[in-house]
Amino acid sequence: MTPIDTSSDLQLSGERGASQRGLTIGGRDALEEATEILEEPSKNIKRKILISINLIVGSVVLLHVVIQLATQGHLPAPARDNVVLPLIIAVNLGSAAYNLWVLRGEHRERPRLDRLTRWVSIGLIQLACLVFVHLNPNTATSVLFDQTLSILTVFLTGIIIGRGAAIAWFAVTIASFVFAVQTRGVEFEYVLMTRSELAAMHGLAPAAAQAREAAATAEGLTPLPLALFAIISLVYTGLTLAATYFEAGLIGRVTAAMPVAVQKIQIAAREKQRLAQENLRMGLELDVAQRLQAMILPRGAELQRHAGLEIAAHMVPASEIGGDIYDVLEGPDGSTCLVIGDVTDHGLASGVVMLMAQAALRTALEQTAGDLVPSLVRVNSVIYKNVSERMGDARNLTLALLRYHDGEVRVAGQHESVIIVRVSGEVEEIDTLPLGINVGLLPEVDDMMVESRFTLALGDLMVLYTDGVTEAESPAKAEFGTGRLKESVASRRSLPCDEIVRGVFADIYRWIAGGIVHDDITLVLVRRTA
Amino acid sequence: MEVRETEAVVRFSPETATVYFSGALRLANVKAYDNVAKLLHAAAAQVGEQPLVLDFKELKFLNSSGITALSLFVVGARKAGKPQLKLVGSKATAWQQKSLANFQMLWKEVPLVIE
Repeated sequence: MTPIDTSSDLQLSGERGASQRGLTIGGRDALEEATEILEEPSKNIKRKILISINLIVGSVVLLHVVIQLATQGHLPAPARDNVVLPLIIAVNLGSAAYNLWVLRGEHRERPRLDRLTRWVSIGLIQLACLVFVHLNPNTATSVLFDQTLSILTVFLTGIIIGRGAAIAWFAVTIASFVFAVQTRGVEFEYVLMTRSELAAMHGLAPAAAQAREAAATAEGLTPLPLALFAIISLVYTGLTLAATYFEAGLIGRVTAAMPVAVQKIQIAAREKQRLAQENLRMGLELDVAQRLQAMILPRGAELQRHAGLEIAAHMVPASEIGGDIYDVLEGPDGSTCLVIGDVTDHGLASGVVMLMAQAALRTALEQTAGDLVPSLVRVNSVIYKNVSERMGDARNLTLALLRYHDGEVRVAGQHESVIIVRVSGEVEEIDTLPLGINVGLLPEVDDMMVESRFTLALGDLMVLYTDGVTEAESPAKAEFGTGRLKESVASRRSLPCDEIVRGVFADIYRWIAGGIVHDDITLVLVRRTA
Repeated sequence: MEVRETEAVVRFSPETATVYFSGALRLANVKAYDNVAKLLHAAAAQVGEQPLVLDFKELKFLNSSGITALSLFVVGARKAGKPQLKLVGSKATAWQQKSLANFQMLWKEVPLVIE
């Protein structure tokens, strides 16, 4: 990574996050969709049935009121009807209006209003059932005919409210029926008149006919016109049809929705499987990338081979490797070449670029007898041709080369700064920004790579690092920074290099406090010992 | 002309011949910067002989992929000899001091104004 990048890792993990949501098709979860498809047919059934019942009851009562007022000028029992009937109309039409509103999606449903409209609508019908059966002036027809509304209401209660309510109403209606039968008397018989008996009755003198009617009424057998039964029967039939119409379509629509839902579920299952494979593949790829990177780093024993220098180095790769590179190579005439760099971007390709850079660099240093600028130019050419031209990838790397010989350090190429901790504790920072340009970015960099020199006195420490160190983030998103790095090294300057490295890493880990390691963290410590 | 990314906006104003960068650009890789590159090329075509100003003052963050993408644009402009570029940055933002100088290294004649 070049000096200012801490985010690519986050970005990439963000991308993986998106593919983990691979279950989404067109922004929605396939399983959620399947559930919706299956629920859709039954979702508004209760509401539709309730609306139709409300409309039937409300309009029938309204019609009744209008007819009564038009023909009689008043309602049959004004004291009761003037209050009860408008209330029934208001409740039913109000409930119908609310539920229609919700059904058309113009109003958000409110669970409380839902419950209220259901219970009140059904409650009124149940009350009507009891009133019809027990306050009917003809106790014989109430058992025979009016009881049918109670039976129908078992069905309505079950659909609109639920099974428990239906069972409760079933119990009530049976009790009501038993009571009605007892009121009429179990010994009562429905006796139908023959034609001659009917003719005889019609032939009665007015006084006798009136007496007969009075006797019948006194016994709770008030004569009722067939037209009344016909109208009531029509209303009951309408209610039954309303409930059945929507309920009967349900099974058909659920069945029709099944294949689509199953298809969605299959898509979800396939996506899940693909995702598992993808995760496995990515895991393997990252594992391979980390191993490639670790494979080519100098061994511990190699670091000890350099006369006059004590060297310690450590790299912690990020979960998705960041392509950090460091190396320590023997140069000509007993010099030591140090390499530090960082490939842009993350992942396997960054690891591969790092490998190429290391191989090209080693070859270049050998061929140029450790001449830094020509080596950088050659490496640039190799990386540009291989990565930009052949791989078609825009990866490149910061790369600084240092060559130590006899207390003098030459440095070339652009990377992070080089920190010097003098034996006195004084800290210096050497900026490599003017010493070059990213390697592999441009086809030719001849005029851009520059060499600079500084001296390293006996006991002086030189710190090479990648931005993984300085950009390590605390939980509060603050960066570790060069200030803390300098302090961390300076305070341990009397310790052996490997202990300083361990100490600095301990400081970094304390700083990130269990947070994510966004980028490879590389630290190389060099001390002049002779 | 405008490109909107999650955390950033890149906008070209023909009146001032300036591309304004604002927010934080952290796109996943160089390829992800294609839209920004397209805007830059379109802006370059539009300004013609006038210098094109790249104003980074409001850009808080630019990752290495973004630097690579912009570098490629600067190098392309140098090769073509046009448009003339002018880079404007802010002292307040740490990355700009470092990286804008890098763009200048790609094409030494490009004036860099750090305000």
